[in-house]
Amino acid sequence: MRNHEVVPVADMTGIMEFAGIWKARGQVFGAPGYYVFKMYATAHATRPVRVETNGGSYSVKRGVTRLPDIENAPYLDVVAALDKSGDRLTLFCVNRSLHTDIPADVSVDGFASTGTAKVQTLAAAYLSEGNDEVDPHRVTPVDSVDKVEAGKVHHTFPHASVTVITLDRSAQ
Amino acid sequence: MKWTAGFLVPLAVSLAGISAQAQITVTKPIPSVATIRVDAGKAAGTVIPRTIFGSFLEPIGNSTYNGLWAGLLENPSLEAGMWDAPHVAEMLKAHPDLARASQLGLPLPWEPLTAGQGNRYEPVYGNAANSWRSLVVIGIPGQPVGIRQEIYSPVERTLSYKGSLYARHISGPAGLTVSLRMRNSAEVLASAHIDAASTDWTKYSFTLELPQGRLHRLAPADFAVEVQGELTRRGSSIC
Repeated sequence: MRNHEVVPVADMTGIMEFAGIWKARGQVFGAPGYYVFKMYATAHATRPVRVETNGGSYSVKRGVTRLPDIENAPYLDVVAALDKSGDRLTLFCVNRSLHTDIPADVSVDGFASTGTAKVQTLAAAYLSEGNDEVDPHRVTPVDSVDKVEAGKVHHTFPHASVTVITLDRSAQ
Repeated sequence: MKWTAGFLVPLAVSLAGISAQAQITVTKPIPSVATIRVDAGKAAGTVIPRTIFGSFLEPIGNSTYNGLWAGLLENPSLEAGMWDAPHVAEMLKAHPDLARASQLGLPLPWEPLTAGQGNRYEPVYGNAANSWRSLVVIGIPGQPVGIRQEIYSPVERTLSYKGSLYARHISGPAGLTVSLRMRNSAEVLASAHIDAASTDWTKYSFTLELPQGRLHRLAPADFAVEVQGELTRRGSSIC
């Protein structure tokens, strides 16, 4: 989303099989990547707004061939965007740490929110966990609610997770 | 089947493709409580087009047939040459009985209705309703003759299955029976009788209703087509 001006399509894999929807022994199931794609695609968040995070960072040297060096990748990476009407603010949050759950204080300016934030979290005990025909719902998004007080939310982002936080504008 | 979440790719790719030389260095430790500051009053870039979440569909595996187009059968049109040699080898490794079926003239992954059944089949090129090939099935009086295929039914969400086949009667009794059976068994779970009397290619539709609780999720079953007929010169052509 942050690089939409140069990246026209977020996911280059087919929606069926690969990182999408599978079928095995008559059981249809989605890969975890399918659910992430769905969480993002159905958020209808199109107007990016400024975000600053302070959640630690790491660098990679001599990594994979296509991207061997990565400098200062944030552990907690957040993209925030308003919807077309400006009445809904969505935060797309990735915790890249494989082992550390990250508690965070979220503060929002320029948007008077209602008292609750809807949260959808996709996470598992291990990054390698997935879904299959035996357990098709092993890794699927979990819905929850966080309290919003004076434009602030406290949330703990599980390790290796993708979280979507939705705030609706207060009627006042 | 193990997948990583697509949006964790930068780190996941780094670790998945890690060699003995890759190094990950913490440049700034994770604080005890991180901070996220959002200023919704300040734009950060241009409008994100909805098309960024476009996707595509590739005709591979079960993506299109038996995926987007819900179906239970592989090679329902009884074609030859559907798979390359490595895939055929995989199919034979998973189902060794298919080798004998192939020797009897049946296209993969179809099998004879009963094990030990002799060659009651003849593939015919250039005479089919909606494909390149059809299959002549020659019945035997008093014995079940036909073809079957292993399938997996999504019984957790539906017990009702609609199907159709094209058939052309050649000689003898004109009845066909389609059924769902317990795998490798004569036990019929659901069946439908078709009076396939037409000597022209005709499409026949049927519905099979599985009884509740008889077939469990992830359990294989057989879809079978059985002909009535007498020895030689008589049978049905199916495609």
